Amino acid sequence: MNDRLSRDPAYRRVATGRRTPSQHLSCWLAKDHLLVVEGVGYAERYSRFDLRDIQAVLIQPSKARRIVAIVSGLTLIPLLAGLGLLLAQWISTNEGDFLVGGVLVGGLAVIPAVLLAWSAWCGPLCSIRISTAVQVARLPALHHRSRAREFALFLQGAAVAATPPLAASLAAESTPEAPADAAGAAPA
Amino acid sequence: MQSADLPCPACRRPLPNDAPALAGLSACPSCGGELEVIPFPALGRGPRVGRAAEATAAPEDAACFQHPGKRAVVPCDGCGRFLCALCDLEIEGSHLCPTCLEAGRRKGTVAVLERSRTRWDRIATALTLLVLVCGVAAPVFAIANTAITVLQWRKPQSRVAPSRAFLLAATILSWVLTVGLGWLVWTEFSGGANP
Repeated sequence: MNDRLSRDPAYRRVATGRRTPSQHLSCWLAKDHLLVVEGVGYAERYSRFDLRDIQAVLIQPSKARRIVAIVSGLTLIPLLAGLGLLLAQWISTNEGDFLVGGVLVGGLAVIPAVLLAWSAWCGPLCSIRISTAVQVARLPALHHRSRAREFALFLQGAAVAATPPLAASLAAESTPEAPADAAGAAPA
Repeated sequence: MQSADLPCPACRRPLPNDAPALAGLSACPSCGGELEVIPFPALGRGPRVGRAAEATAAPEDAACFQHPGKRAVVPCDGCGRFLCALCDLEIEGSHLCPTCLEAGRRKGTVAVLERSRTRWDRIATALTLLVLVCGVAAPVFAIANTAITVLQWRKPQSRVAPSRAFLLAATILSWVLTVGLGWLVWTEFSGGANP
């Protein structure tokens, strides 16, 4: 059998992400296809999309970031108010209990503050899907809208390069690829 | 051939099947949900279809091994048998008959057909960490790492990561750690015996 079939083509990583701490996802581009690699534990699962089959990339904005920002903000406001009150009491009375309370409330306020900072830093989130004539597959490796858009445009460029013009592809399909041999079947 | 329309991910209703209309879309026309569509050249082409096998015109025409009434168009790259357009399965520029394709899938010689692979390098890395954790049993894990490296070296590794390099590095590291731990234990005990 042809040795080329057993060899993997050269891949270039175009996107990477995580679904859970143990599940790593990445997208790799070869000359004519996109390979989605899902790493689960000690194994890798592969999904392959021929660039000539991809019809569109659908980017659907997600509300997750907005929800995280609202919830974090609503949690942070009373915690900061409490912290302010406790510190004011400590300054006015100089009692150590108010300082301990302030430290505890401040520690709690760090969690929503970090979440709020994360939601502001990462920008709008989205879910991205690849559509072919027979399937719509989600790509969980990409969450950030700007990166997803950049990836989709890059993939579009690769697909344009890999897809022959329609007239040329129709002509190629109608022409037999190899002439028939005059002899009969010849098993090896 | 016209394909089915693209569905909106939110409401599943069809979106306009026309590239300029899709490119300018900012929301689904049916549900109004925010949506961005990036059209590709294959939009509206439908699934690619194989060629139909042609009947042999004359008795001296080369015929397909499986379908004697159909004209052969190409020999199988695996077994050399003549194939008609129906039996010709083109993969990565090679032409295979269904029998060779199935054999290749079973033996793992057709990389395209593999849906998953084991990451032996990750297993070796985990065993290397165990060398550090279980100091006394370190040689066992180092030997296990060596066995994995020897047995799995020629088998297909990850399609995208340099697994063989990681496998080798994990094995070497596990032996270095084992020897290092052994040396520490030896110096500790010999130092205790001869102060």
